[in-house]
Amino acid sequence: MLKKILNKFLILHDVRGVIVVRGDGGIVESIKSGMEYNDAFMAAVSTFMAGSKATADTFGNSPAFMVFMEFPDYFLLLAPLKEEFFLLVIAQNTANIGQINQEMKKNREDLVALL
Amino acid sequence: MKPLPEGKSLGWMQAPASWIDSHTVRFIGVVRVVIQDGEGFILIKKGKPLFYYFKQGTIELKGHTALDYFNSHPVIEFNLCKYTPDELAWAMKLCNIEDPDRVVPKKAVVTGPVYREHTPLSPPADPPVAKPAGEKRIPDPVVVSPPVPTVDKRAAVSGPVYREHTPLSRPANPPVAKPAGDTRIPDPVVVSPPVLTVEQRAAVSGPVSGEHNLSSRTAAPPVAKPAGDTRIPDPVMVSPPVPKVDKRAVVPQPVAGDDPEVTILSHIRDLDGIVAIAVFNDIRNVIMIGDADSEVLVKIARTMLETAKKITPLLTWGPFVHMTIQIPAGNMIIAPYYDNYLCLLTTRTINIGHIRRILRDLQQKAAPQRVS
Repeated sequence: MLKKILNKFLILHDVRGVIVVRGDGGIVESIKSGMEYNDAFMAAVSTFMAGSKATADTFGNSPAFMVFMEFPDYFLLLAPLKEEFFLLVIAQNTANIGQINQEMKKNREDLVALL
Repeated sequence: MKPLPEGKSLGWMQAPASWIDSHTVRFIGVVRVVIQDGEGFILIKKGKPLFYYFKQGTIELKGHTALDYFNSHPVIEFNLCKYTPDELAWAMKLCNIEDPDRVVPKKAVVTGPVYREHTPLSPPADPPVAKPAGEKRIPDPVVVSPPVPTVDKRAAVSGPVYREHTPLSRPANPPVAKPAGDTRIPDPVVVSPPVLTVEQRAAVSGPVSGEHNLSSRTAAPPVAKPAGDTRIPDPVMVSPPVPKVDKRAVVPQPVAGDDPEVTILSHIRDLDGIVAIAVFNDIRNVIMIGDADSEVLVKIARTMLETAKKITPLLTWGPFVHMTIQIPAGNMIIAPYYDNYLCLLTTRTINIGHIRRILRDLQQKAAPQRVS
């Protein structure tokens, strides 16, 4: 069921992967298209999650946060689902961020219900 | 000191005092400096510092002493305020200084011998300023010379130097350093920007009383004088800093015309939704413009940078272009910026698309200026 919802993101233009990740960097569920989730990538995801959380903590009161990290061809978009769960979208720079955000809003409740 | 004209604020920044020297080539106005509970300013005309001033409580520092104090802080907080020509003229009157670009005809020197020997190193744009003989009401411009023991006696042996009488430049402040009781000795005319040395800067650790100027007064930096020529009194300092004397010349080198950082960053700061901008690196906060605590801002930015640096080698996607963290209060963005990193703090009204556009614009605007 979780994968089915994640697939709604994956079918968006130039989205290459979607991962549900815990605050400690652990992977709950993931799907991908046209890319490999190798060990280095998974380590990067964990580091990204932990680093983003550490940054958000410096603002105090551990606020809900969203992180966007851009590279020359790809970007990572990390959005909160509930408490310790986050959704990570990996996409090419040509992907429509507004569309991804819209899909997050539409599916957040369903995703949260499954966690 | 009477308050100077307000000018048009370009924004608050945090940077080393030396940054001001090298980034105000086309700037005309006042740089308002705030250090702890004290306030001061640097009056600048196209990269040429005209007057340094700082006041904390009852302690007043002027000229070199004030500059030394600014330089004794690794970073100072300041506000660049642009002046119109009228405002600059008014500010100069309030500071009781002459326009360094104004050419004073030689016949303006009224009477008495002028012992100022022309020094080849003195640019012609800064002529000697004359003071009528016996005119004691006119204060001398602020002494900007740091103490140099070897030249302590120079003022005492110098011949009278005259300063053009300017009714509007009456002193708001008494002459700061003149040997007590000696009315025969005219005050050395010092209209040049101060000359710095590393040692002198390092020696200043905190604000000292205005009396400090007394020692500074006679301590002119060495100026060119033929060796062994005792007939010629020591030249009066009327020229801008001599490169040979000071490696870190106060007058910035006219490198690339307009300063890209001030122009571009000020432009971005003016955009709706931008709260603050900082340029930082691993060691320090280079520039800060806007309304935010720079230390906190850069601390967060460094945490983000650390994350970016850890992730980048794990992925095969090339260098990171930018990283944004959104919290309910706003966005925090970091991006590489020349050899440093740029940090933007924005309100929530700016979305990621907007941020990406700003960064793209920044790179496009910065590139041509960098090339030049």
